Amino acid sequence: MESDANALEWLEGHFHEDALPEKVAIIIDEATDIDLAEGLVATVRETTAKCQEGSRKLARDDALLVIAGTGLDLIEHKDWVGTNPHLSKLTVLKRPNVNNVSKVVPREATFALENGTFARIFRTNARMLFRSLIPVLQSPFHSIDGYSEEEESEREIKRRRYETRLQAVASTRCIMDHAPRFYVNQNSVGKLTSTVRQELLCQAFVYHLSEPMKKLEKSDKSYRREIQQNNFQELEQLTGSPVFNALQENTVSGIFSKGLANRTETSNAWKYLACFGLTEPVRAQFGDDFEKLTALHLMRYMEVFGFECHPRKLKNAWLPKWNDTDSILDTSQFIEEDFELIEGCSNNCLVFEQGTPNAQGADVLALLVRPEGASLMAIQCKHYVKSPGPKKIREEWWPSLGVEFTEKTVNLEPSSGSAGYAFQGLDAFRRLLEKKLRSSVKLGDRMLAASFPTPEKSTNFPIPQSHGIRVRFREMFEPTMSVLTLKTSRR
Amino acid sequence: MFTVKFVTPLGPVSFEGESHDSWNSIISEITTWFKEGDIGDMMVGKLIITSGDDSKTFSSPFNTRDAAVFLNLIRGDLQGLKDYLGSPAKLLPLRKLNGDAYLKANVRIVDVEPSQSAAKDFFAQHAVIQGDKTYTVLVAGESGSGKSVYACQQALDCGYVPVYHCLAEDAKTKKQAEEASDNSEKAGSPSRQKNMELQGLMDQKPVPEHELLNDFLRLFIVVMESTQQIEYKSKHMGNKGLGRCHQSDCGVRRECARMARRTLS
Repeated sequence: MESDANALEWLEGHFHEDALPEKVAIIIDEATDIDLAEGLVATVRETTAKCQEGSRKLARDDALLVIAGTGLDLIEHKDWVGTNPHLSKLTVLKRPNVNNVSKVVPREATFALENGTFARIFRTNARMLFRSLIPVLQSPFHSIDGYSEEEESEREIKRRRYETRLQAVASTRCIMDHAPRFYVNQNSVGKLTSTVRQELLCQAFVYHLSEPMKKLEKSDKSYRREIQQNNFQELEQLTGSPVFNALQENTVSGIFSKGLANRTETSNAWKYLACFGLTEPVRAQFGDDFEKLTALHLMRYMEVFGFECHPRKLKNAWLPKWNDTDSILDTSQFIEEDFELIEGCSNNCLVFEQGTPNAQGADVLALLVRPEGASLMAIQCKHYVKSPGPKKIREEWWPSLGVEFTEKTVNLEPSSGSAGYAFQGLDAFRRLLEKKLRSSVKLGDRMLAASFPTPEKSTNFPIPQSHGIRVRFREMFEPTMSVLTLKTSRR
Repeated sequence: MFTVKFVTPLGPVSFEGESHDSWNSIISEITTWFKEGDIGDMMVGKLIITSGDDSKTFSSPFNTRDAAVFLNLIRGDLQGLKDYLGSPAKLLPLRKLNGDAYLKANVRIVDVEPSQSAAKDFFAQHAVIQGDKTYTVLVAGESGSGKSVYACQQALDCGYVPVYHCLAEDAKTKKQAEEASDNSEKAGSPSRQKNMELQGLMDQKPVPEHELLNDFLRLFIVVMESTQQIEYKSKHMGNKGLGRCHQSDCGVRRECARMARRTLS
């Protein structure tokens, strides 16, 4: 460019015929208004003809119109516009290819980009990768090492240590958090006020959550009636939220035009932002990972319904392990639970997480405080690769939520056995909250959270047909679940 | 030594000075000349600015009002002017995207659809097609996927001179103007309108002056022609009833005035 004397002349303002560049590309950026882009496409032949003739001639040979903007792929979407397809050529930028990145950054940094827990997410967005991840990983301070490197073997040891260190850096949330924080201050997203940005990210969350649930409804696969009913209720609850309605009303100028979500495939970096960072890597056979993820997902989910969410961690497993011979509940450890409640009585959600996934009762408890009253939700988390069969579900899973469930009867307030013990514990926790809140607290929904996909018809997954009894399968944990790779193993 | 020379229908008029202070005084002198010289919106054939050995000529016709806005912008940022005079290429959009060096160096780092070679052909083959088969290249992708850099770099790689225009600023300034106008209509008071405008400006993040200057210069000198083309298209679209278009009133002068108001305030 700088060597093109004609181009420089022209750039400086000499619009003389002899100084015209050979070819000019008119690049219109941030063309997020689909109507405008469509109009520019529709009139491109007349426009470029004008650019190449008379006193307004811009180039000797060719004037090319380039329009860049998020959501422009909609132009070629049949449902949206009827533009002549010959008038435009669409290029969709996907994600940076790590194999290509390895040609320009050291191999230790490439290793960290491929294996760092959080770097794996953020490398899917070009700006986060180029402006944050690579500069952070390439900081010379990471390579400072006291060992000498006289011998070849020492150099290799040092290199491996550097590689391991970079991987640790790329797996540390508060360091990698630089990428999304840097990002949200850039471009069209950076110009949004924080309130609008949060609303849009909330809409993006609902979009990513509702899509897999809708797919279940439209799927060719068949499901048992109780599962269909359960999933329908979950979707109905979500689609009844104000955020979902706002999303529906704003399909053209909302999250898609701002680039916060793609209709085809959204990068994990943007899913992470949609979750507002509330996600966790879930390792195979680590029940507490899934428990943590369930609590985080619940917090983000309740935000969709206007709740202000706060996490709390119980000091002791609640309730204490049940002994077949002695089913008397010991509430003495309640004295140690000194969590704080939130002042005020409008739309607060306290999410209590158990540190021990093998506790007898619910793994995640949520106190929902609304102006009309408070309720306690109980969630039992099950990190399995597939359904373990109806017997285990009836005899172990539901009873741990205080639900006695046989083939013929459902008892939501049992007084004996494992289910009775769990119910006593849940009720004791409810009374503790009542005492702290100085207000009535009702027992609310009881829910099983399963990390495996919705079981098909051939699998019997018994669900009690009672109000407030719910199951959430893997699809209902999107996008929280898919941001970080889920690895499950068979038990 | 600074020199500002106008070539007008009345003949050439020159202003000269030695230092930064005199540079400002030159502009004051020119502004006074515009105001008190009873020359109205006289067309200027050429504007030549000289700083030391660097000299730039703006030969696209504009009137004295545009020139006044332009010079008042330069008044606040002498270094910006020197940078501009030293290397106009600094005004290219790629210069603003310093951190994307990796992508600039090799746009092939990012995967694209349909494929890298097909996408490049959209640019490369445009020059050889017949005029009645021309097309627009659309660059889509999620926010932060590198669309701006890709579009500019691919154009450069295929031998095009990129003329870059970002619509986001237009939309933002237009919205502010509309809000200020609405509020003024409600209040019925010019002073209230001014207050609202000022409030709007105060709510913005401060933008470094040299960036504003660069933006302005780029708009003023480089994109002027292309923006006029956009204006043409927009009107055309309106006639065809192809939908709303927030660019329909986007003229260079209005843009200059907005930029000037923002900078001078």
